[in-house]
Amino acid sequence: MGEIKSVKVTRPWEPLTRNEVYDVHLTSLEILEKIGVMFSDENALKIFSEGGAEVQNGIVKIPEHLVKECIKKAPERVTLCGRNSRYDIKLQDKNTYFTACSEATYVVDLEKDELRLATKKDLSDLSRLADALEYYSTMLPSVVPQDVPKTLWIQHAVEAILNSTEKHVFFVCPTGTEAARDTIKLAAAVVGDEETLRKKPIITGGAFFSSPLRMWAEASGPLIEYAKFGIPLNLGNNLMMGATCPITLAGALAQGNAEILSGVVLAELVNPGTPILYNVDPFSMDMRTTNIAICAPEKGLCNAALAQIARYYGFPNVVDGFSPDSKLNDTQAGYEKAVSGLSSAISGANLIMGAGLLAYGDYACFKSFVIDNEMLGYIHRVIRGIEVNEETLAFDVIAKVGHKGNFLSQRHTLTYLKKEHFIPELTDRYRTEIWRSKGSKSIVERAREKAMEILKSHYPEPLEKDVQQKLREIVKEAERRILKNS
Amino acid sequence: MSEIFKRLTEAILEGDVETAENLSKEAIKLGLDPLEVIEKSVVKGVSIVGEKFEKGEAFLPELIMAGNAAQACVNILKEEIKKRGKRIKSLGRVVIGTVQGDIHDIGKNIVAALLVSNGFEVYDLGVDVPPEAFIKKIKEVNADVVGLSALVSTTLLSQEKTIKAIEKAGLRGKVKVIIGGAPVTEEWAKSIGADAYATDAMEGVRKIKKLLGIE
Repeated sequence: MGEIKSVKVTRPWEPLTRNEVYDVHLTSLEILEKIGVMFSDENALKIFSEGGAEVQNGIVKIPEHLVKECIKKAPERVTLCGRNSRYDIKLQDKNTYFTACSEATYVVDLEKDELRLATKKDLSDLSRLADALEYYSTMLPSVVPQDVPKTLWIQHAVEAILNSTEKHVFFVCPTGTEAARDTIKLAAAVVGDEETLRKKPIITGGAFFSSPLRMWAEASGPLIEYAKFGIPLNLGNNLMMGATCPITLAGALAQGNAEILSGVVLAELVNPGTPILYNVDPFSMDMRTTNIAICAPEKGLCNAALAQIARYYGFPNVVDGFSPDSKLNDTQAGYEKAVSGLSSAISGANLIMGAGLLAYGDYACFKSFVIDNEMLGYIHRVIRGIEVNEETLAFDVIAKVGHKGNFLSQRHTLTYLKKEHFIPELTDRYRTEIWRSKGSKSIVERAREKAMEILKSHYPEPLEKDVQQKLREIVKEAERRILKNS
Repeated sequence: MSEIFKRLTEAILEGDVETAENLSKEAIKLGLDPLEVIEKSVVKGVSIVGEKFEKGEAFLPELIMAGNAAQACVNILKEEIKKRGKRIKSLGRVVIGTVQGDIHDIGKNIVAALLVSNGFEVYDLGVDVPPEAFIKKIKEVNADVVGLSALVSTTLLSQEKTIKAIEKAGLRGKVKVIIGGAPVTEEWAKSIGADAYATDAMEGVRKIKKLLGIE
């Protein structure tokens, strides 16, 4: 399979003015200094206190100078490595990549087209799809396997993904320090040892805030563990606008930014130079149904603003971009994904999550995995922009064709066809009669066929037998240890 | 000898008109049988591109360029064939043109190129072709099929006029008529007495083959 498709956005869409970005920044600093962030873990509080923050009753108030120092320590460039180095991706500046979305409970069965609980095998199969599809830059735990013990799901998930793709394993977000250590062990077994893993991080760890302004020990434990180890750390939150943060977009940005900055301070105090992926995740809440709405128009708008804010600090950033609220691969899913995906992408966000899921991230869907790859091809083409030079302005060709003939027989046409025009694979562009003669299929049916074809034929380079065995043993050992204690 | 066939096929695949022409001249100089040259290299080249196009592996410009290169070869080899008192073997002879009053030619050109790549002998009369010109060419080349193209609804009437003229000339029993163009419908084709109609190029080729009982 081919290379991962990425692009550098040359003129990003920036919904905020420079002054507005600055206003968000100032508000976040004020939140950190006056309101503070709550951490439940004694160890985290100790690190903050020793680092120069004011700690009282579990609340950490961070002075401006400390925040600024720590921001400076985080690198502006982060390379996420694949176990096959041709899948390395460079998150920096306005490079834009796409990836799947994480942690669905259910899966839409590919053959029966029914909703059922997701399994570890589903995660392996979804990972093989992501391995084959060119717009997936990394793979992550798209589902939480429901056929393994709940306290061990992340170990099983990481094992499944490492076995099923040569791409980077992104956003491994365990609960508790021990689980974080296990994921490091698993990744180290694949690259050889822990020293090699530091140089070639094939996984990205993750830690989430529990907004408003809180991080529990279950999340700060892994944060500290990954920071100590020195592999990339995806710092995120879930901001439900009007419920866990202000209803206003600017307020959500200010609070969300403050939370992530407090995480940056903790990580950089633990280990200066820890690579941070800035992942503020505000979404709407439907106040008529009490349900979340993760693909509302405000999503892409906030994502674009967040890409701006991340660039202001020099953090590579991640946005949760375009998982639709729709339960089906229908027109609603189509416009939700297209609007949010495109608004996130034209902003120059570095890594845009969201492919492959439905129902506000509740179901993973094999067909969506394939459809989204096609849609990302469209978006990728848009953000690639227009190349203007003597050859592309084509005066000579226009002169040659003149008023007779056509451009079809010009070599220029053939040379630039694939460079300038995205050639879709699944999108239907046939005339009605031909489309009918091919069975009048919808994109969903065509995607299903392609997903089946990939799953039948595509297997990434398998891990060495003894490495597979080692992964098994690490999971088994974790099982013995954790199940005994529970 | 097989070397020159191979090179000519490659030139066709590349859509390289100049090389294709030079190699055709060289083949004549070497005293090769022009019919064999056409069959073993020219037709082979266009069929390869044609098949790829059908499968979605080649793009329209590649097909057109290969068609142009093939046509250039045939133009050169034609004379030599005549000299030897032989005829080009083809799936059939098709006269094609955009009807009187209509100057749109891109669709018609694509159909012509596809026909060439499928092994037809194509006589393209260009645009704004009066009925008499169609008739003259049909008689001259003893055509199996005539294709009448129109893009504008108002020039559809010229298709009707041309068919009537063909009937009057007593050719209706000898030549099959296919009409084409975006505004053409099945009803229109029936009402003016066309044998077939097509609304895109691929369909046009398929229907012409059907008319001639090929495949």
